[in-house]
Formats: sequence, C-alpha cells, structure tokens
Amino acid sequence: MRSALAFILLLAGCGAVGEPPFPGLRLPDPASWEDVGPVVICEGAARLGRPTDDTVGFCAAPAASSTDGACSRDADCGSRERCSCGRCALRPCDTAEECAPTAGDATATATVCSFADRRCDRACTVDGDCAAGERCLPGRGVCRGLCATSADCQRGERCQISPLTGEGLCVGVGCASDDDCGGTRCLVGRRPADLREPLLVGDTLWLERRDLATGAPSIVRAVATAPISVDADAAALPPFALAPGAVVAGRAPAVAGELLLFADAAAPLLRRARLDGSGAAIVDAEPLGPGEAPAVAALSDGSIALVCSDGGAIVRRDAASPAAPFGPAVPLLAAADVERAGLWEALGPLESPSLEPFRDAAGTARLRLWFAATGRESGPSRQFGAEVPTPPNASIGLATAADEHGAFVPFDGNPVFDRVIEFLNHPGEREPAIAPTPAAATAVQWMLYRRTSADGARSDGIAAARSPARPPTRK
Amino acid sequence: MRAAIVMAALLASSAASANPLSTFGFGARATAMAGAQAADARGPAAAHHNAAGVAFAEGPEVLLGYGGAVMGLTLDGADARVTAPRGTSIGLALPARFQSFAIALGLALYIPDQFLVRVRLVPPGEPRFLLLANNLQRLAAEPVLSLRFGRRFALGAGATLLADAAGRGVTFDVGVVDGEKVGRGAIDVSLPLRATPLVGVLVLPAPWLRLGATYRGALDLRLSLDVLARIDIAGAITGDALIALRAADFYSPHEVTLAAAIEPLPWLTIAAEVRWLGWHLFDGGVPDLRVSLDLSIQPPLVEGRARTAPFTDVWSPRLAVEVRRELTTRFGLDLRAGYAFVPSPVPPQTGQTSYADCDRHVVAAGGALRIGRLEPILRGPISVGVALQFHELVARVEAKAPSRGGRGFVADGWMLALAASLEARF
Repeated sequence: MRSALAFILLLAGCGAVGEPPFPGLRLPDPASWEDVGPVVICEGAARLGRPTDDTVGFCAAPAASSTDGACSRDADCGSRERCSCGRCALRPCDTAEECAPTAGDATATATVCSFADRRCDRACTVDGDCAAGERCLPGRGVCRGLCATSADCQRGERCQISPLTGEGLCVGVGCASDDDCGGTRCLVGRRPADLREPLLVGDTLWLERRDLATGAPSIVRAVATAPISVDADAAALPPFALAPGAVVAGRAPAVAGELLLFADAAAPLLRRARLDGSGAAIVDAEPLGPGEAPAVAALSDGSIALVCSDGGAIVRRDAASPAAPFGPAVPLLAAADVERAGLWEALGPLESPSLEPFRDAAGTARLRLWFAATGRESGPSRQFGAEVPTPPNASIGLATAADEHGAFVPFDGNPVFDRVIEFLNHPGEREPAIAPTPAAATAVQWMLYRRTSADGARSDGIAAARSPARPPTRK
Repeated sequence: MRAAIVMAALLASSAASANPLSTFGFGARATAMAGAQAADARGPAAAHHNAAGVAFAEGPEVLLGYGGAVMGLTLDGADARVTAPRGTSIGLALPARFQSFAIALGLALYIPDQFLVRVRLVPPGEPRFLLLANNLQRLAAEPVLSLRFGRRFALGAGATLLADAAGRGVTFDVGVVDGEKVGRGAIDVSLPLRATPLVGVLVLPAPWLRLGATYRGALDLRLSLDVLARIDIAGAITGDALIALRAADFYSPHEVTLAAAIEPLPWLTIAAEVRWLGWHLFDGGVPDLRVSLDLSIQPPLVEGRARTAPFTDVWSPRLAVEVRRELTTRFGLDLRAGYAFVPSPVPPQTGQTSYADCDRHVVAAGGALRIGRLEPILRGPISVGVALQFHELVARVEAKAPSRGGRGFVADGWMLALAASLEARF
C-alpha cells in the first residue's frame, strides 16, 4: 500500500512547481509589525542622522561646480554615487541601514557600508560585477574607480595614485566642513539631529526638533518627496524633505485639520494653535492644561478627542469642535491596566499616545490608542555563566475602544512592537505615530516611532515599521 | 524577548478543511448534482459518495475525469488570492456476481495537479479562508469494498487514506571548530499513513426508491516537525535550540449523510440528502509551537498557541434532479441540476483567529452524452459528462473585540467549478 501511495504521490507531483511563501492576500494586523529601518529626512542635501552622529561628507574634487549633481533617482548618478536628498554624491554611512535602497526608486543601487571608509559601496566579487572603468578591490569586495586624475572620479572622490604601482584609484576624502577639504567644498551627506515625536498626516511628517546645543524644542515639518506606498511589498517610506524654519516653539505636535496641539517648550502644559494654511501657527495665549505628548483625532460626529500622558497615565479630553473648549480630563489607561504577567511586566508610565480613528468591518467608528511604556518582556539572560538581568526597555502597546466614546481595552498580546536584536539586545521603541487605517483592504499600514537605547538615554532617530510583516524570501 | 517569541509562535496557524471531493463531488455527474449522491451514486462514483453503491455496477467500470475551479474569494473587497484547485479523478468499480449476491471493489482517487502536500502556516490573526484554501489541494484516495444482497440491499465500507508529514529530525550543526566555520544539516522526514473509515448502506424498498446512509470518519494531516540547531561558537554562544511544531492540517470532520432518491418516471431521478458534519471536534487548526532555547540564555522554553472558539456542527441539505432522454437507439442525453446549502462551521471571529469561511449556496448543472452499442469493445455505454458548479458565498462581516485591536474583515465571493469525466463499462 505504501508503495502504491508513493507512486501516486510521485505521479501527482509531476505538475507540482511550488509557490512563493504566503501567496494569499495579507492584511494589516495590530501585532504583526516589521521594522523597516530609519526614515530618511533631508535638510537641504544632507540626511539628518542621530543626535550622536557626527557631520560627515566627502570633499568635492577641485574642479567640481557647486550646482551639479541634481537627481531624483540613483540612475541619474554615477555608478558609485547614490541619489541622496536630491543630489548625487557618495553616501556616507556608519550602519548598514544607511545604505538601504531608496523607497520607490526602481533604479536603486544595492550597496553595502564600507565601515572603514564610511561610505556606501557596491558589493562585488569580480571586476565584471562593477561598472566600466572600475575594479573590484581584492579583499574588500567593493567597486572602486580607476583614474589618472580626479576628473576621472565621481562626486566626492579624488584620484589617489599608488606610489608602488602607479595605479590611480578614486577614493573618498571624508570631511565635516569645507575647512577639511583644502579649498574645495565639503559635500555633507549627513548631519546630526535630535528629532522626536513623529506624526504622519497625509504626506506631511510633523516632528519635534531639539537644538543640539541648547536642547530648545521646536516643531518642524517635512514633506514626502514621493507618494507613500501601501503596496504589499513596500519596504520603506520615501525620503522626507524638511521645510525651512520652525512652525512654533514647542514639543510633540498633534494635528487635526487646522488644529495644532502641542506641549509647551518648557513645561508639562498643552497648548493649542490654529494653522493658517501658510505654515504659520497662531497660538492661543492660554494653555489647555497639564499634559505631555498630546494626540488628537477628529471623530465621526465632528467632535475632537484629545489624549495625552499626564502623571504616568493616559487621559482624554473631548471638545465639541476644533474651536470649542476641551472638557475635563478623564483617565483612560494606566500601567496597571496594561501589565500582563510573562509578557509585559514592571511597567513604567504610559507615554506618547497616538490616537487612530478607524471603522471596523461592520462600519462602527472606533478608536485605537497606541502608546509606549518601559517594561520587561523577558527574564534574565545567562551570559558566560553569569545571570544578567534583561533591562527594561520601551516598547509599543495598543488598546482599543468598542466605539469612539467607549472604554479602552488593552490588546491581549501587548506589547505589539518590540525589537530584539541578536537575542540579547532590547533597544527602545517610543513615540509611536500610526498612519490611519484605510477603510478597505490595503496591503500595508505604516507606523513611525523613535528608536532609543533601552534606558532611553540615547536617541537613535526616527524609524518606520510596517504591518503586516513581509514573509521571508525564498533563497 | 519572551513576548517576541510568543508572538512569533502565534504566527503559525495551520489550515484545515473538508475533503475536496466532498466540496465539488466526484465525477461530472456528482458535480452537476451538487454532490447529492449518497442514495443515487452507482459504480465508480459511489466509491466516494456511498460505498454500498459500488456493488450495483453492472460490470467493471472506470471513471476518468478532470476538474478545476475559478476562485473569486474576496477579503475586504480585494482578491484573497486563494490558489485555484485543479486535478484528475480516477474511479474504479470491479464487481463480481454470485447469483443474487455481488461483491465489488471500488476506488476513488483524486490527484491534485499542483501539490503533493501543502502545509501553510500563516499568522492566525490575518484573515483567510481556512476551509477553502488548502482542502482543495489535497490528494484523496478511497479504496472500498461493497457487498450487495439481492437487488434491494447493499453494504459498503472502505477508508480514506492520507499521509502525515512527520519530521523525525531536522538537525543543524553550526559552530567554529579549530578556527574553521562548520555548518552541517540533516533531515529525516517520513510520511506515515493515516486512514479513516467510510461506511455506506443502500436500501431499495421499491424499484423507484433508493434510501442511503453513509458515515465518514474524521481525518486530519498531522504535521510534526522538530528542528534542532546545535550551536558551538566557543566564547560566544553554545548550546541547542529546539523548535517543535505540531499542527493539524486538512481536517475532514465526522460526516453522516441520510439520503433518498426516487425515480417517479423512467426518465427522471430526484435525489435529496442531508449531511451532518461534526466540526465540534476540530480544535481550530492553530498549531502548537514550542521553542526550547538551551543557549545559556533565557527563556529556556517558550510555547505559543492561539486560542480559538470551537467550530460548530452543521447540517447541509442537498437536492438534485436528473432527466434522461434517448435521442436515438445509440445515443442518449442526460441533463442534471442540483442545489446545496453548506453552512460554515466557523464561529464568530471576534478573537485572535480570523477565519473567513462563509455559508455557501451551491447551484450546479451539467449533462452527459451516452453512447451505447459499442460491443464487442465495451459491454456497456460510454458516458461523457460535463458539469458546472457555482458557489455563492454569503458575505461574512467580522468585527474584532476590543482586546484584539483589529478592524476585522468582510469575506465574500464565489467559486466556479468545472468538471468533465468519462465513464465506461467493460
């Protein structure tokens, strides 16, 4: 019988060709998030990095003009250049993520970070993997240009002649300012910035930016340089271009139409402003009351719901309209409501709520509340024989209300987003900002958040995650 | 870490289902009559629909068929991209008569085109058609034995066979030995047979009346996979990681059918039946995934299993009619139609799982051309049949409980099955 069955199986397998993993339709799920890396935010021609990053660029060749290199995609640039923030240049890097392909650029060059040279390079194994006039560097596995003079090189490179072989190789000369370049310009590719509290409204990214020298906060905004994709295979958000100047001095922006709510620059007070359409904000003289990190949503009945963190919990205040006064604060959620043994324990204050109105499949208008909290998701690790407690770290949780005015019930699998790197590294995820859930089937929902160290002392920049997570690719 | 692994564990959810032959029918005649065959099937087709009917074959008979379906299933209005099934049907009836007693061997075989076995583990929270995705990709083999006593009573029994997918060990060795990176892998997988009984009875109280009853046992495909990674990187990480996955796939529930067929006129058959499907024993198909990490790091053991509400038993009524017309002394034409209502056993999906299967209305039609007088090549006629079967899904709207956070889903759509078969008697 088994032989017969085996024969039948073989016969049936004649047409079996397999299929890609998960070929069926997948829809966003509240707990299926995939970290897709840092969000590229450009200020001029430079990307904004982490607060702890240094300013880094590459010296232009002596004859380079000041206006060349405009681009919209990698294909507009030289073989070793990347189109970064609208300009062709060597892309500086200290992490592999900085060399990721640009979202929406079908011509994006696959590059890796050469950490010693702090530049993104095209990987290779033989010269044939490189463009004409390039060599695959033995032992390095990256493409570099051959040259006789610097005119043979690409932007940010200079020709360096080997005294031993006499062969010229295009190299990047790192710099932080023009002073480092001996008379030519420093093409700055990345500069540090302290960006927090992201909020995505349409194609506009609102942010809190803190001055690196004084710590003074201001609210700024950036606009997506390409449409935000919700395709099933979307791997990143497009780059955002920072608008010049600050909208207003303050922290943690929350926007609904012309209504701008934010936290006072110096005190745990909420303030309200009206956006006049030109980018300016007209701020009410009187603060709304105590609170931090507001989030706001326009409800289906035209009223406005405001949530914020206050005293370690999340509270809610409602207003009949954007211009109407807000009512008293009502407690919504506290750490004790969210804790769950074995999954999320020893929670600290609930912080940075993000309010997401949506309609469920039955058409009922409901609210989801995303928030961050610092807690412990696993027990101690044993490293080299010693038991090492896993430090608490900030992660992102979720609570949902049955309707727009109902009580919030924590998700029973919180936290919904928590990165674990190489088993032992538990970095922090804070200040979630959820892009609205479309009413109909859409392949991807986006979330922005701020990366931090586990203790929150080090800020690692604004990053994005998508739901559902993409299936692994078949190798 | 633990939360992350638990969530990863909950990513896995297996598919489970009914039998593909029960969904569309075995052979063009059964497809055209919406599967209402428990009292009416004879010959090879009876091997699936009622084993007792095999002994009513008047001689050795074969059935060769091919069928497939177009899947128009949607989730939130978008194509759910459920793989369209297609496959070959082979039926056999080998009777032997001893005066008024007859004994017959029968076989119903369905061989899908595209997969030997398909096991799909997807996050249980993501909406999907649990019963209509994998079940139609299943190989089905049903050998039966039938006994007929006189012209009025027959018994049949057999089995549905299926192979488990049991991994007896998947092992990886990764490490550094004498400064050299070492990576080895070994896999040992077996396909042990599983079987469940089929029993049928046919009673003919009068020449124009056939009463039938069948029982089909529950059957599932058990996936058992243990993946062991032995890691030895001195000074960094040493130990074992074991991932144990236990899952049920291709679940066919206990099934009892009561049926009647009448021939009020020589050229007319009306068949009706009601089928009970005992889904309450199905645990929802969410697998048990256990991860044991003995890497000198915690946690040592994590397990995850999504909770799901129990499935509910359902009653499925079916009605069919066949009209036979002799065109000439050599050619005949049969026209068939059928209707069935197939309720979904899936409970309200307000919790962690998101199974989208809906109630279905099934409307079917078809016909067959009979060609007789083929002696000495064939003793009996050849029948070439075609059938269409349309499944209209009743829209299912599921909103999630607040503790699940999702927006829920709307499931809807249709399926159109096409089948053609040739039946010949030798």
